[in-house]
Amino acid sequence: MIVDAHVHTGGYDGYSTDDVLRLADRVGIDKIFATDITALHYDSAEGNRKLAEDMKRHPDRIIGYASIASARFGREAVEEVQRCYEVYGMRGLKIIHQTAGLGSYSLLTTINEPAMYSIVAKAAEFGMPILAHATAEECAGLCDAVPDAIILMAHTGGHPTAMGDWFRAIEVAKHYPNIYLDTASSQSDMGYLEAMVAGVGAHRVVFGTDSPLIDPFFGYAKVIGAELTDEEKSLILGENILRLIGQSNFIANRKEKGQGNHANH
Amino acid sequence: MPIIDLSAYFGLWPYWPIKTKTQADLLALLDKVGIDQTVVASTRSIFSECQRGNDEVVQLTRSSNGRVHGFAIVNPTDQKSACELVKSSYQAGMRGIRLTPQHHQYHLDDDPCLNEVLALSQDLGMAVIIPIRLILHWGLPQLDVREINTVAENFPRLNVIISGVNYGEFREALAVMRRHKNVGFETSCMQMVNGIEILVNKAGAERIYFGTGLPLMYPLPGVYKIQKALISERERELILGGNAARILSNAG
Repeated sequence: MIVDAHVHTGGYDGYSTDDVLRLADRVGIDKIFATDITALHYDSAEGNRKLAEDMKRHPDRIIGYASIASARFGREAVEEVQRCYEVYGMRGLKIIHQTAGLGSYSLLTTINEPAMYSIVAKAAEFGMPILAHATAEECAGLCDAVPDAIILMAHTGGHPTAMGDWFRAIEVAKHYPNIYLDTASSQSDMGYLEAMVAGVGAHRVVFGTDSPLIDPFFGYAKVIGAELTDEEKSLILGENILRLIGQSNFIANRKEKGQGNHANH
Repeated sequence: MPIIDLSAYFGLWPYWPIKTKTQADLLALLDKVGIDQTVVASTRSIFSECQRGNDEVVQLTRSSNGRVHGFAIVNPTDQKSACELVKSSYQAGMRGIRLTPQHHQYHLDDDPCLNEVLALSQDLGMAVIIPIRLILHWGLPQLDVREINTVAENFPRLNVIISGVNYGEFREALAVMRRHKNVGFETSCMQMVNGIEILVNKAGAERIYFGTGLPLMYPLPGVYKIQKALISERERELILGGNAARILSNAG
């Protein structure tokens, strides 16, 4: 099964959620793990509710990330994560450092600040993998602050704020077993997927495309064309993220049965 | 119709180790992804010695049975040799040059030596590729795509090809192409959904050139984006090789 763990729904770039699913169909992607554009950049509650409706319409295709626009909404944001997990059935959290103005990429807020820790801790309590659009150092800081958090480092350094530096991202991830690496990026530096696998193991590399911002055919071709074994590609293309989601589902089931919330990461 | 990659490199890469360093490596990589021919430029010429790097490319092309072509890297800040380099490159069989102003510290507008280089290239019928970034890597220096307007306007018979554009510069690149019919587009860094379809609709397939950025970028995604685009087979053939073949067959 192919699962794209980095997708945007809700109207990103003019593409409706159904458009995004049609794109996934063309590539042969079975499921998308998605964040809603409104939730991520404007109104978390409204956007997450919208994504929950999308998930209801496509229960076999869409897994939801709760998205939090900023750590600075405090308790409200923590409650939103809880609502997304318990009520909407979302199984991941998406966070992003906010930038001051399109294209400037100067940091307005970092994800690695104390206000974020309680939000991340709530996601960790539920076993939700946290897709963190941030620098490697920010991800490391979150892991230091919340050691149980499972961090999926969005783009593995392959975004403007991290200056495209996947080498540094891999080096940092080597020291943090809870950091997973996301393949989504406009970058396709030859050898960088092989370097991820050599650095942290194929079991910690997760396929993502950033669709519909980036062509999912592009992201998929990167993985299938890389010099990796079929087993490694299977892990990357779906098995790893399904394993992480499975842990979150496991916690949800135990909670329903009143059996506590511990799972082995 | 052969598949021709108009945007590849030969040489080392100063920022991280690469595996494809020799002619044999390069040809094996082309075979692996089904590319028939490629047009390389020298990374040595960009980062170190311009002439020596171009000479290496000439040697490579002469022993590659027509599968590897070369475009010369020209640095117009080297006023004594820039035009000579264009001439010698043409005589050596090269049918285009590449400019990298963000690496060679000049601008495209109002540089007298650059204008001599461009005038000569226009007279010889050589294409000029201008990458706004060498490959799609967010840490590399970037050129403002709007600077290309000046080149296209001053040299209306010059075949100018914009390279390195992704979603952030796409609208500006289209605007340049709309203003100047002598401007084309190379696809290696354009990773957006429906990008090829939009280019074909707005500019026409005749002005679009398949490129990969190999061996610095994975070539297969570059191939996929053309092969999977929702365009006609005729348009696909032009992009994948027909347009590049036209440039390479220029007899002067």
